[in-house]
Parts: sequence; C-alpha cells; structure tokens
Amino acid sequence: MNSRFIILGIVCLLISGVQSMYGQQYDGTSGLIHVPTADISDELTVRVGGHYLNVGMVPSGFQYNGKTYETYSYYIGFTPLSCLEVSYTEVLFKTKKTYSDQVGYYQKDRHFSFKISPFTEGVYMPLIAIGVQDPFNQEWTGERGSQHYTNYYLAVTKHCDLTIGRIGGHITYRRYNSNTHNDHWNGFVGGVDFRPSCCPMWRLICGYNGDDILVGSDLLLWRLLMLQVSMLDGRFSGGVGLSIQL
Amino acid sequence: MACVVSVLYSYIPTVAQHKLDLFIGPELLYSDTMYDKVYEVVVNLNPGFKWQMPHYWMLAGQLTIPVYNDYGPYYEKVRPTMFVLSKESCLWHNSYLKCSTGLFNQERYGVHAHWLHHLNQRFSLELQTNLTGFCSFSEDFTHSKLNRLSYVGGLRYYYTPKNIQARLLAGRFIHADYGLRAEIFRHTRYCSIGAFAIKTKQDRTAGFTIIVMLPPYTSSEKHFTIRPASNFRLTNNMDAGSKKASLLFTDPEYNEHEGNFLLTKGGMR
Repeated sequence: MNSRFIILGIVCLLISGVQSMYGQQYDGTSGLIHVPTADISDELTVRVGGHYLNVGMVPSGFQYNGKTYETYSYYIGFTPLSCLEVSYTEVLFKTKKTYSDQVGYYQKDRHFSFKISPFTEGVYMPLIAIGVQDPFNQEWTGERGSQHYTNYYLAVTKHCDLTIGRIGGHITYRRYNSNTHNDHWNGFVGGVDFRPSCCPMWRLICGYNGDDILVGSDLLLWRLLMLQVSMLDGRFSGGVGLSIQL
Repeated sequence: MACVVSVLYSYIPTVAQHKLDLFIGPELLYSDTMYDKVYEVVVNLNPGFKWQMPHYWMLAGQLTIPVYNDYGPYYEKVRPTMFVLSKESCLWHNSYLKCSTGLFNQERYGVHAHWLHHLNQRFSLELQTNLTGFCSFSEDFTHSKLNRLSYVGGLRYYYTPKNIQARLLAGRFIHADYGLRAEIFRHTRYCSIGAFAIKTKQDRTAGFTIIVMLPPYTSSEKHFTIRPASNFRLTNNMDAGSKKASLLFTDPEYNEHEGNFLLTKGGMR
C-alpha cells in the first residue's frame, strides 16, 4: 500500500505547471510538512483538503489500545490579510462503536491555527512569524474537553535566490502545552526547502521536527490542486487539496 | 404582445417596477452530537420566491425540501420556512428602515424592524427589534403566542480598502438570551469569509461563516426570472446546534455579502 502512495507521489512531482507551496498541509497552513515556518500564503487564498497522517505526525493523545495510530485530517485555511493565516482542522479519532466491537474513525479532534507575520522579507531582514495551533479547548465554550495539538511558536525564515533555484532556511522555536504529552516535538525545529528554477512550483523539503528527520515534496498543479508527499521515520504521509485564490 | 407589454410598462411605471424571482438553492446543516458518527448531516433544497414591488415593498417565501436527513423525523417534512412581507424606506440622509412581518427563519413569526444609520464612510449604527412567537410546520402546524420581545443594537465598521466589515451587537436576542455578538468579515467579489464570537450570560461560543455567491452574479433586469439561489451560506459553530445570540433573517437569501437592505445596494453591506 505504501509503495503505491510513493509511486503516486513521484508521478505527481514529475508533473509541471505549478505554483507556490503549502508546507504544513495537514492543517492548512504553510510550513515544512510538520514544522511551522514564517512563510505565509498569498493574501485571499483559501485552502481546503485532506491528508493522511502516519504515526510519526500524530500527537500522543491519539491512542487506541495504548498505541498511536495513523489517521486522517481535513482542513480549511484562509489568508484574510497578507500578514495573517488562519486555519481550521479536524483530525479523526479511532474509537470503538457503542454496543459493538467495530473499531473505526467515529470521532474527531477540532482545532484552529493562527499565524501572524508582521514584517515582509528584505534583503537582509528575514521573515519572522509567531503562531499558535489549537489555542482553544472546549472549556472555552463551557464544556469539558482536551487539546491534542496546543503549541506556540516563533519562526524565522530567510530565502536566498540562486541561479539553480530558490533555497529557504527555516528555524522555529516551538513549545507544546505539557498536557498534550508532545514534549518530544518541543524546542528548536527547522529545515530547508528548495525550489528549482526550471520548475519553481515544485518544492523539495528536508526538516527536523524535534524528534525525527523528515523529507518530502509538494506542488500546486494548475494553480488549484495541491499535492504533498513526505516520509517520516520510514513512513509515508500525503495529502491532496485545493488552493483557491479569491 | 411584446409591444403591448412595453407600452403598458412605459405608461404605468409601477407595473414596470414589479419583479418576480423564482430561485432554488442547497442548504447544508451538520452537527456532531452522536458518539458513533463523525457528523450528522441534513441536506435540503430551498426553493423560494421574491416579489419586489414598487417603493421597496417585497414579498418573499421559501420552502424546505429535505434531501438527506440524519437529524430525525422533525426535519423530514416538506415545509414552508419563510414567508415575509417587508418594506424598506429611507428615513433621512443615510438612515434606512426595514419593517417586516410574517414567518421568519428559526421558526419565528411576528413583526420585525431593522434600522441602519451610516454615520460616515466607515461607521454605522444598527438597531433590530422584533416581537415574535414560535411557528413551525415541521410536525403538525404548531405555534405560540406573539409574546417575545427582542432588541439588539450595535455598531458596524467598514474598512473599504480591504473590504473588511466588523460588527458588534448587544441586547436580547431572538431566543430571549442576553448577550454580545461580534463578527468580522473579509469580503471579496464573489465570496465572504468571516468569524464570529458570542458571549451570553451562560455560555460563549465562536465559529466562522463562508458565503459563496452563485452564478449568474448579476441581477437580471427581466421582470420574471428563474435562477439558482444567489448564494450558498455555511456556518460552522464550535458549539453544535447552538442558537445563542441568533438574529432574525427577513430575506430567504440573506447573506452578509449583499447586506440587509436593497436600498443601500450593498453599500457598506
């Protein structure tokens, strides 16, 4: 099954006619697959899509029978201003059906993400952004609930144009809420991405999410269809979405 | 025949000002209240009509035809969900009033008044008040006395360069809950995306609304038009099935992209 996904990913990467990227595509924001960066999508861009997440990208709270499991997410993201990115994501929970032994994805976790990047990138000035993922829990609405993704970060990004393409360096300090039990993703994370001049819409990514090295790639076909594939700890993740410029 | 009609229109201007639109649009409702389901979904078709008369009188109605229903028997019947007679008028410079009576959204019937006053290019004052009762055709015809008075007022702000609209309303909303409702929208040519936050005495909630205008985007000049609904409006609320700080709609195609008043032609929404 995994090999099929990998072949599909490689085929996608070979197709040209693409534009910009959406790094943390699993939650509808920009970044390096599982590492937030200071990049922000173009103003008035809407992103909708779904993602398959392997175990390495799933928070510790997603456990069934004591084991973390692979799951799926779907999201809608919006860039209302050139300096603000907002997204809403739902990630499926694996649970046992009531009065039955049937196990499946019958519940979901919901969270918002916000990223603000007040400065534009200059010749020497890097992009700087602060962001938060899953800031509200259900207690905010007066109900009991939990936060599986809650984290805050400060990200710095600098791009460099070369003759062969555009290279971006990203470093982020990220801190997860201790209740999420995702301490292994805390601290300095980051990576590099590269867009070749011959196909500037295709991006190669290599990053470190605080726990593992991840490699991947993404592209945007026909200015509409977003595709992303990645490998983390030898496991595949990938997703498909739409990027609509309003 | 066409010649006779055109002559008639030219000599009787009030006839020429009549306009009847028949439209149909989809409605999607969803919530997450069941343990074993990711979503419970309701899909409806909403055919409706709008009869625009001279001097900004309008008669509008809407039926709800269930297509798919996870919510239960209450949502299974074909039923009328709106039937409203309304009149808009310009009170004085930049001040507009819309009075409506009939069956509104959220199964309320009664009378409703909506006043909007543009203070300047950016700020507007708004006041909505209504006297309503419950009225539903979902099971048998059931209704209550006209005994609930609601009143909300607030301030609107419109930032033209970015087409950003913010609104803050406070008061007693249609389900007799006292609270605050804050909204912010970013409007584009064919779409509006916004967020809202609600604080009532007991609870608070938040969510977002997406409005997509459906083609054809321009209003036809013809006196009789059959068309798709002008928009598709979707609201996602953190609190499933929440009716906190709800507002009455007097137009079956109401959306924040076009605004409340025909008179203002969407100016400052």
